[in-house]
Parts: sequence; C-alpha cells; structure tokens
Amino acid sequence: MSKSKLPNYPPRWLDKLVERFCAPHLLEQVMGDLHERYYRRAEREGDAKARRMYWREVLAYMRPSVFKRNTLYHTKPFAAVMFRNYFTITFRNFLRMKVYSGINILGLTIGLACSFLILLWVVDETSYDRFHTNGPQIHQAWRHFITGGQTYTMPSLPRGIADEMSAEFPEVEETVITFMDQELVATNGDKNYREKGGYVGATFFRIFSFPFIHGNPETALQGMTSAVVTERTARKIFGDDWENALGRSITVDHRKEFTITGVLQDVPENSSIRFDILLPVEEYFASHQGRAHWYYMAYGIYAKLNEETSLEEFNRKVGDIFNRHTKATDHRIFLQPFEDIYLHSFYRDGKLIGGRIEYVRIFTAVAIFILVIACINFMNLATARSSQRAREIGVRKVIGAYRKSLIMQFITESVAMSFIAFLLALVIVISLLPAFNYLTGKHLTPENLNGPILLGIIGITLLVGTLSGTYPALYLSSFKPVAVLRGSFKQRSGSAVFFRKGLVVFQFALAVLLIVSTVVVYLQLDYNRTKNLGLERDNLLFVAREGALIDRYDAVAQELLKQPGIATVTASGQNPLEVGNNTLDIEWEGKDPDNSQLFYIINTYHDFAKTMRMELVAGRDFSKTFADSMAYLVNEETAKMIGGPVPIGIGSYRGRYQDVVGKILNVYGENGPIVGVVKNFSMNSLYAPIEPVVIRLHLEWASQLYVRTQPGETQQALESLKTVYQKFNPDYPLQYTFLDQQFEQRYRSEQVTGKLANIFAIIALFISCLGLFGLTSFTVEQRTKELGVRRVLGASVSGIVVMLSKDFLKLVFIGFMLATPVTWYLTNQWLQNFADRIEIGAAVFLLAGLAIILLALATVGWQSIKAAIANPVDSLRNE
Amino acid sequence: MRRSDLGEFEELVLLAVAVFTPEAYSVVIAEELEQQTGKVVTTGAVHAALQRLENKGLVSSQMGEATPERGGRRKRIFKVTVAGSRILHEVRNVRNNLWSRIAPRTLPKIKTT
Repeated sequence: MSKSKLPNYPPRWLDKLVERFCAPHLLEQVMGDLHERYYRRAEREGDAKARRMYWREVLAYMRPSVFKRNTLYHTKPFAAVMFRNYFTITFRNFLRMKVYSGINILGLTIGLACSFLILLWVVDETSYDRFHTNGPQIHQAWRHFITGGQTYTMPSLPRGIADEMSAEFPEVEETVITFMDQELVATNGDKNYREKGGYVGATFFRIFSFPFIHGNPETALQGMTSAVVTERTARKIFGDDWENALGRSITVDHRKEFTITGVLQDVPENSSIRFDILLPVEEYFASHQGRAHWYYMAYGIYAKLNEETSLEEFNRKVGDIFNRHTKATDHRIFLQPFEDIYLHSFYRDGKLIGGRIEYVRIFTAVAIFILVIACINFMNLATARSSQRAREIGVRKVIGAYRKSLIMQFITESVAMSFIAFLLALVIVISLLPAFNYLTGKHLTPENLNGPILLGIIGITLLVGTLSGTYPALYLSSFKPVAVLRGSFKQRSGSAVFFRKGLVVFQFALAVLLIVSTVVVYLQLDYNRTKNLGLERDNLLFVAREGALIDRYDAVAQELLKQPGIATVTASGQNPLEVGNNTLDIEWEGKDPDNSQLFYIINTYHDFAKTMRMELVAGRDFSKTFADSMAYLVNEETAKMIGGPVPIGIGSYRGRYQDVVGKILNVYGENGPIVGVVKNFSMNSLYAPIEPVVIRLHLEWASQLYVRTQPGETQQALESLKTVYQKFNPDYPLQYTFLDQQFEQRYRSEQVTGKLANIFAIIALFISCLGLFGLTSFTVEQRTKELGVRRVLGASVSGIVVMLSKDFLKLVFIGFMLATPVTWYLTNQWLQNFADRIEIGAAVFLLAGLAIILLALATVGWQSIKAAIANPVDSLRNE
Repeated sequence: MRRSDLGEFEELVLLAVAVFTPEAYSVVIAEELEQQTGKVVTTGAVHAALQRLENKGLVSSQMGEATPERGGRRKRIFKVTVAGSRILHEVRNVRNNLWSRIAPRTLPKIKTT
C-alpha cells in the first residue's frame, strides 16, 4: 500500500452480484482475487482506471464453471439440524414471550378462521349448477322486453320459443320447456302431500344431469301420465316401500293420475333448479287451455347448444324469433350460459350488471382485508420486538450464519406460528359451522373441507406465514453484529419505525372502511325492513285457493269472518309486494297513442285495500255492498298518468285523484270504472322504482286467499283457519305463508350479507386493536425507565398517559381520515342499487370514527395508565 | 491425454505457474501475463484456465494464507504436477526442434525489442 490515502472500495453492487452468482465454494478465492487485483491496479494506475477495469474483471468470471455449485457443499443433514434448531428457538421464544405470541396467534387464528369460512362459502356459491355433464353447453333463454323507453329483462317465455329454436337452428341440439316452482298436491290413497315441482319437457334429462335411482332417463317423461319423483318424496309417499315405487300411481292436484316412471336422487343443494316432482309439460298444455299460446309467457326455456357454436353469433341470429309472432311489442331473445346464471342474473336497462357475484366479491375482499390486518399485527409485533432478538441475531452472525439462513429462520418461525394458528382456526371453523350455516342458509359440513379446499387453506396459511414473516426476516437479519453486541441495542432505524406506523395507519384505515360500510349496509337494510311499504305486511297470510276455495270462495270467506282472530279476508292473484304480472293492454279515454307504458296488474276481490291496509287517497275499496261487475283500483302512479299533469295553481295532487275516480278504464278489453286510488306501495322490489299498478276486481284469477289476523291473536287465527279449511277442503293439506316472513326471506341474502359483514367488521377491528395493544404494551415496557425518571421528576399520571396515547391515537386518526373518502365513495356506489335509499350523513362517519378512536384509546390507555401509576422505585431500583 | 488439449493461453498460464512457484496464484499470473503480452488479462480468464488445467491434472492447488489487500480472504496457490511438467517439456521440445530447423534468414527480418 502506498503512503497516500487508501483507495476507494470497489463498487459494492458488483460485489453483491458476484456473491449472488458465484458458487459458494469458489467465492472466497474469487472475491479475494478480484479485490487484490483492484487494489494493485488502483495503486498503480489510479482509482478511476481500477474501477473501470473492475467491470471487465467481474464480467470475466461470468462463466458456467464459476456458477456451478459444488453439490457437496450444502449437505442435507446440515439443513435438517438447522431447521430443528429454528423450531427449538421458535418454541422457546414463544414460551418466553407468551403475551406477544398469544396476541400474534390469536390474531392469526381469528383471521384465518374468518377467511376459511368465507372460502367455504365462496366455493359453495361458485359450485352452483356445475354438476351437469353438459354444463358448458346448457343455456337459458331470456328476453329483453323493450317498451316505454325501458328495457325489462326476464327469463319467462312462451313455449313457442323452444319449438322455434329447435326447428330452425341446427346449432341447437335440444331444448326443454319448464314450468317450475309449482305447489303440487300428490295423493296416494287417502294421504295428501304437498310437494314442490313442475312440468318439464321429455328432453329434460337429456340436458340436465339429475341421477336416476330407478327408471330410464330417456323415456321417463314421455307420454301424458308419467311422473318422476325424488327419493325424498318417494320415501314420504310410499314409506319403506319406496324402492318399488316404479309403476305405482299418484294423483296430482286431485286432478289426474300419474304413473311413477323414475326415482331420482335428491336434488343437490347446489342446484338452482329445485323440485321433488316432475310431470310432462305436454300434459300441462293439454289440460290447461291457452297456455301454449305466444302471449302466455311463463316458461323457463333451456337449450343445449352444439359444442362448436359461438354464443355471440347465435345470439345475433336468435334475437328476432319472438317478434315475428307478436305485433306491436318488442322482445329480443338471447341465451345466457346456464352455469353463469346463479351468480350473474341482475339486468338493468338490458345490461347484465351482476348478481350474487357481488356478494362473492365483497366477502372475498373482506377475507383479504382481515388476513392483511392479521399479517400486519404479526409484522409489527415481530419488528417491535426486534431488540429482544438482536443479540441472538448478532451471535448467530458472528458464529457464521449467512443472512440467507437468518431470513430462513424467521420465515420458518412465522410459518410455524401460522400453522399453529391454522390448527386452531380449523377447530374454530368446524365448531362454528352450524352457526354459520344457520346464518347463511348453507348446508356446509366438515366434509366440505376435503381435498382442494384443504389444500387451498393450507396454501393460504403458508402464504400468510411467509408474507408476514418476510418483512421482519429482512429487517432483523440486516442487523450489524458489532452494533447489536457492543452494548444495549436501540432501534434507531427511522425507516423501520416509519414503516410500522404506516402499517398501523393502513390497518385502521381498513378497519374504518369495514366498520362504516357495514354500518351503512345495516342502516339501509334496517330502513328497508321497517319502512312503510304502503301496506301492512304483519299479521297477513295467504293460502292457495284450491278445491272448494275456488268454487265456494264466498262461503269460505263468510265462515272465516265469523271465526275468532280473523280480521278481514280477500283474494288476490298476486302478492302485492311482488307483482310480476304486467300488460300493455290498457286503454282509457284520452290516452296518448304513443304511450307504451307497462302496467302491473293485480287480480283481486272484495275488501282488498282493507285487508292489505292500503291507504285510499280517493274513492273507495272493492266491497260487496256495491254491486260492481268489473271495477278497478289504481295506484298513484297510474292515477297521475290518467289524470295528466298537474295544472298550475293546484297545490296538491289530492284533488286530481278525485277526478280520476269514476273514469272508465279498459283492461284486457273489459270496461269498468275506477272506484278508488290507493297510495303507492312497494309493488315490485326494493331495488326498483314504483310502477303504475291497476287492481282488477276479478275473483276467477285471484288464486290466493289472503287473511288478515287480529294483532296478537295469530295462534287463535291459525286455529280458526285450520277448522274452516278442514271443513271445506279436507283433501288438501293446509299450507299458509305469512307475508312478512316471505318478505324477509326474499331479502334474506341482503340481510345475511349485512349481518355477516357486521360480524367480520367487528372482528377486523378487534384484530387491529389486538395489534395496537401489543405495540403499546411493548413500547411501555421499553420505556419503563424513562417513565420512572419522568415520574420522579414530577410528571403527572395524566401527562404520561397523554404522552403515551398521543402517538398511537394520531395513527388511528390518520387512518380514519384516509379511509373516509374511500368509504364514502364505495357505500354510495352500493346504495345506488336501491330505489329508496338512506342518506349517508357525516354523523355515521363521526360516530364510527369516535367509536373506533375510543376503542383504540381504551386499548392504549389501559396500558399507559398501568405504566404511569407504577411505582417508579420498581423500575429505577436496579440498573 | 493428447497434447492438443493444451491451448496457447493455457500453456502461458502453466508456464507462469512454474515461474511463480511456490507463490503462484491467479492475480500474480494475470499481472505477469498482462505485462508480457501487453494485452488486458483478467483474473477471471486466468482462473478459468487454472480450473481447466487442474481438471486435466496438469496443476494441483491448495488454499494459501490471507492478506489484507484481499480483505482477509485466502488465495488458492497452484503448482505444476508431474504431468504438467511432462507436457511443458514436450511442447518445448517440439518448439525447439522446429526452431532449430529453420534455415537462417528465412524469416522476414523484424525489430526485436
């Protein structure tokens, strides 16, 4: 070496490169040679030249003989020994720091358990309708009905569509007409059974794969008297003799005898087509007049397409096949893959906008959020605790541990932790499954955890372990042995602390997002449930009009009204909360010829408004005191249309409604006066705006008996109903439905979403607080001496608590501020789905924020107070 | 083992090992060759040649001691084996033979430095 200053060190990143590619057994001599040559050059020709040449030197080593690892170098026993050592250390650390390890594992366990449950749910949702052998070829036909500038998309079609499709398009291999979800009464001897089922074409089993136990799928639904039942129904009807059900006969709806030609396995839970009895649809057309006509749109039509057919092309060709047969209306036919429909079936303005897939997405996001929050806990606690591991790391490095092996060690540790959490999570999941099923209406069993799902959750666990272990591993393994072994090690690394704070902010931002959005969801759903729908849905039930209830309605109604517990009785063909029935065929004097508004029709009978408790804004109800032959009630929307726009100067519409009463309306070609106007009621869906409704006095089509019971006398009323029903209709088992229950059922998935989301949000917040708790208690522990000194010098307890809490609360507050705009945007997006929606005020955010900050304060404060009131003598006694 | 296995560069490296024995390692060999030939000779190239020679059994090696300018790393010291010595001698004999048979003034005159 010359007397002049020491030459610069050779470029470090090139050294790193050499370290990376050079075989370990050559590294020492190679690096030595490189450096020696460099310094010799630098001395002789100067730094600059040496640096330039260093490039070429390094490049010259880029050859296979230098890359090639000596296989003898890493021996297997070595790795095994080291891993055993890692596990030992993990275990010891775990025992030494029970609180932190406990917090880590608890957080991870809860996070994993949530994500496993969600995964089970998601897998089940996405498995719907996937079991059909022809799956990808099966499609369902839909129509866009375009009228009055709006597009309504629905799957109900006339039978002709199926016939036309198979006759005209060679791409269509099979079609089937289905008329499902019917309530059928099956009679064997003198026993009656109510079963769900439907009428389907003979090709049904050529398209769908529902396995047969007995019978031949090819021929089972041929002829006019065949019937196929599921095992469950066969057992119910024939008892232990169900195996011999084939060839026996049952009477359906007290109408006709059918012979059992097939027994099916029960329909799988994940089938969207559900039934217990199937009958030939041709029999239905033969026995019900006019049902095969083009204007009778009531059937689900499925087509099996040729494998080579491109759906897009086919849809272009098939669009017009309905319009050829109808005049003046516009229906565009298209097919949608059957396997997609369960998750994707919401259309708006003729466009597919989603469906249940939204819930799948929401919950997947929630699961990821919760896992991320749990991972952050792990990372934060691991890095915060680093000073306690610093010595170990220093010693390991001095003894000769490579950084790589240290990284390996810490990742092993976190993976080991996550697997402990995994086992605990499995226990939790299995024990929570019944409750989860109850909440979601699923039928998940521990067997669902088999095979791919088990691999999936093990994968998630590994990923979580690795992800949460990587940052601490990189951070901890970067400690300089000299620094950590010299004396007391203090974390001075600003970037690590900053990163940790950033993670806490992120964690609480996620928690705020989850909490506020679930509160909004809850408020909206609660609003739906409790808002005035325009009729009273409590204490109202309906019964199908069958048998004597058809012919002797008046007598039955009379009899019912005499019974205790029953307030009023009416008949209606439509559930007024979901009127599906609509028509264009409505005329009145002065109707705009361009008006192609769709009107919803309810067929009903006397005392309709009274029984539904709808408010009449003008006119009167249908009643037997008036001898109406044909009469109509309309809702406000219809009245506005008939009455025309409000003339300037008339303040309210009430006067106009009065004018509408008495006008003559023509529906389906029948003239009748409008006798009353009812207040708008939620007639279709909470998602859709209220449309014009016309209520007809037409007993014949009013296929349901509606009974309003006296409040608080439900039991009494049911007894009365049973007595009367038994008397008039002994051949039919009584089945009644409460309107409010049906309504709840209909919005059940929303409610379940709301409930689950609430639960998961609370869990997320809990895990976040758990992490905060760990961090605080750790900080407090590290600052024990400092706090003792402060106390001795006269700091007050409250001063210390404020000082300790401030730092953490600041982070929580920043998280809250960051999450607010995002949450506001997302929740508003969701609320767009509802026609009648709540306003999200600042109050929701403020309250949620306040609650979260208070909770964080409680978490942090408890530790701080504990530290502040501790006697300083204890912490300062020994040095 | 055939003689053709010894390339020109390998031959130079092998000779250099012989020159620097008992302190022959890649850096000094590279420096020497660089000086002798006037072209850049990287230690990497020398390292590779030494690896090949060792594989052919012409040199043997062992780890030497560390020096400060190597950052405390040890170097690999090479020496010529019997086989190496034999091949060097053979090559030299062939060359000498050929040189001695060139008639005077056949080669164009050049300036020697």
